[in-house]
Amino acid sequence: MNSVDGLLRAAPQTTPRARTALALGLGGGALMGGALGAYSGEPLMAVFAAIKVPLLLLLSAGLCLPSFYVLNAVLGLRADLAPALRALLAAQAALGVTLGALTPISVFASLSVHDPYAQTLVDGMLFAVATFAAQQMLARHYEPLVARDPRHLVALRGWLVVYVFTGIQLAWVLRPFRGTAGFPVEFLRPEAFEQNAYLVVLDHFARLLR
Amino acid sequence: MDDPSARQTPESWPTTLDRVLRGSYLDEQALANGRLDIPVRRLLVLGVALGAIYGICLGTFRMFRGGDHATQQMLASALKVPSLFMLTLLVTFPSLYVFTALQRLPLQCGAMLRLLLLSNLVHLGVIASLGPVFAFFAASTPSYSFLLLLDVAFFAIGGLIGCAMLQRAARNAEASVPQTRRLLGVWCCVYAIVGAQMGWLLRPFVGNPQIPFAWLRPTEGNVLVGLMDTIGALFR
Repeated sequence: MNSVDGLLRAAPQTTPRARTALALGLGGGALMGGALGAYSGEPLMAVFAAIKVPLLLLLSAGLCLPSFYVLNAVLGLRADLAPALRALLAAQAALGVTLGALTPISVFASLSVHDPYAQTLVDGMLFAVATFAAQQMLARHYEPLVARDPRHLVALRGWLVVYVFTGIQLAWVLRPFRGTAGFPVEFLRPEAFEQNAYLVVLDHFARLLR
Repeated sequence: MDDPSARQTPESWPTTLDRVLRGSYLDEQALANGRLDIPVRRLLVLGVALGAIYGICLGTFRMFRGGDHATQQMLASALKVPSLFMLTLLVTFPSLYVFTALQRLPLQCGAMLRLLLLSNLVHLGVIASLGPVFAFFAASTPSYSFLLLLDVAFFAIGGLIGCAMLQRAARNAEASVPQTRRLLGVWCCVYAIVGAQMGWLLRPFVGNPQIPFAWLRPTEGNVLVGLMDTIGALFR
């Protein structure tokens, strides 16, 4: 609990140790994943989702790290890369911890709302809230860096664009997080690698206009 | 003053790449004197390696979508991305050299070439760093048009950052001749147009899995028409 408190209240640039931050973030994500998957009543689905939410946090950051390094280097911010990476780690940990803290609300929503579309909407909102909390954390840790050199703001925005762009597609690939009663339990949907989230949204808009 | 003994110790390849990306070679004094102390062979090797990495990432689409000759596509793209940069430089460099000489800019022919290689390496570094993102989308997206546009977007981002690096060099050299920046700006536009059309000629880089593998496609149409067709296909 002290570690959680330390992470959330951390002053700029005083992030907890990498291992602690990683454990907290992944633990929180697993908690939320477990709760989402448990809705189906299938223990295996809960286990799958408890693996997939932390996987989402890890992979989305991992895929974007090379471009983050290059962006920092070309902006002349390479000397600040270590504190910038610590800020990212703190933000990812905050994302996981917030997801964990929102788990009771997710369970409550699962038990009281039965419309699948409404449930998806609630899940989306909870993830959005957690992302907002992570951004707060990122902004806090970036404050001294931006004060030192405003170009950090460019690096931060660049990171956000690539991270969100990749994260949305990754979340789409890793579906289902919330199991549906009556449907077979599966780690990934058969069409997981056959759809693009952005094209699906584009298709929906195109259908609306037709 | 540099320590001569330190110069004799060759720096590691990642260190060279890191220094290029950080712009450590764009020393004001050297630029004003028209000399750039950059290891050209290293720039070339690193450029080919980074281009090959991104090329392989492009070629993964054919592999993930079950197209024929996926390995050959990856090999072809790994060869074609560095070739695209080299050929574009070959086409555009002579005109840039003539104009820099006419304007009596301080950068000599060799220094100018080194500077452009440096900017190319930054461009290649950016797209190679976005390679994992491209490979992930290639694995999870069946739409060829989407992947083509993503590739174009990544190339454009890399190009903008590479040009920003050139402008930075121009700013450093500005103390002696103010036209450098303007000239390099115009050259960036020419380079982008030639590079885009060169990419069109060297296509396919991504490789449509519905079409049999080919090292090169017929030289019909142009990049602008191709781009419009691709955007249109996204909405069909």
